[in-house]
Amino acid sequence: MKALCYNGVGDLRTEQVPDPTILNPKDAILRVILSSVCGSDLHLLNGYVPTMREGDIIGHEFMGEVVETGSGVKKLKKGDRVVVCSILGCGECQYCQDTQWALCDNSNPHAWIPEKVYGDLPAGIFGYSHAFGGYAGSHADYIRVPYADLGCFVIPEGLPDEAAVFASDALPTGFMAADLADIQPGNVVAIWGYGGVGQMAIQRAFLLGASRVIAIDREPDRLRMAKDISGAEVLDFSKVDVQEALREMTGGRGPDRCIDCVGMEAVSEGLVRREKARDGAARWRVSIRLTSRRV
Amino acid sequence: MKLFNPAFAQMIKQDLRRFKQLLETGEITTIKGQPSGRKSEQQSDKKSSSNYAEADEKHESAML
Repeated sequence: MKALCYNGVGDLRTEQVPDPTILNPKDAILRVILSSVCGSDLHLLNGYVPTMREGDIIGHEFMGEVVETGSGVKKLKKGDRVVVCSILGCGECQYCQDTQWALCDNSNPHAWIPEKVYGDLPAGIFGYSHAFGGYAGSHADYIRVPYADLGCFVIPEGLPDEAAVFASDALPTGFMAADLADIQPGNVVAIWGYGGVGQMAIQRAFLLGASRVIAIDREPDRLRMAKDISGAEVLDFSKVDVQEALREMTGGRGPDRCIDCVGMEAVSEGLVRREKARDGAARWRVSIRLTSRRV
Repeated sequence: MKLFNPAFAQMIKQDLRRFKQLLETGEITTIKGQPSGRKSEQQSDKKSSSNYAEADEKHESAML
């Protein structure tokens, strides 16, 4: 099959690799239908994530069709159209039982790497370095999905592939960001970045009862979508001083909740300002200092 | 005075982790045998997906 392989910083290549096979009873093999590019793929590409190796297949936000199941897979069957969670959970450990799937302590075969570096271990993630398990990613024709009954969700009839794929990563990321912000009915919420995650955070903020959501970006198309589709007020950070504008829009008090949905590589002078400190050293001040609570 | 080499403690920890995986999920999580773009692994009969997997493998042999 064909797969997009990491070959070093800034060097991705489409290569011919062997097809994946069932390695454990609870595995399934999927034909990948859609695999989207996440901002986190840029971290790999730009060399911010250690323990990547030449030849690693990247990609972790995807949906596809089940083509093979292991003997331990009970709920899925061949032909099912499913969207798959980026992060792997075994469903049996204490963390999974507490619904803290991202902390699963069984799904990372290289747990000893992050344990040495961070003192604890995260769950395995598709296509996201060997510290996160070293699993082959979804930018490929086929992918092996461990613990398939738990990570694969059958997509209802009538829901297009393009809509379902975001349930893999962008939707839960934005959704959870808004949840963690503890939004109360009537709150004014400011959201930095109107990418996939920002869009989902806006929807969740409104569902939680936010009276107003202010989306901050600089791309004209995104700002238009934020206004027309998400129903948010917008700020173009390349044209206004965000702090001043936010205070002006909120009667001087600033937003109640602030959510950062900006990818690491997207940070620019619109979001951080360079200032001269008293000692003369240049310092960067992040505009979201204004926040009363941030995620 | 340490009775055992610290590496030995790490090996026991790894084995206990695998034992826990087997007890809780009925399988031992692995990536050994999955595809990659590494030509050496594609040509070799003995498939290992990474040098980390190889390290795990060596560790297992050491324990036998």
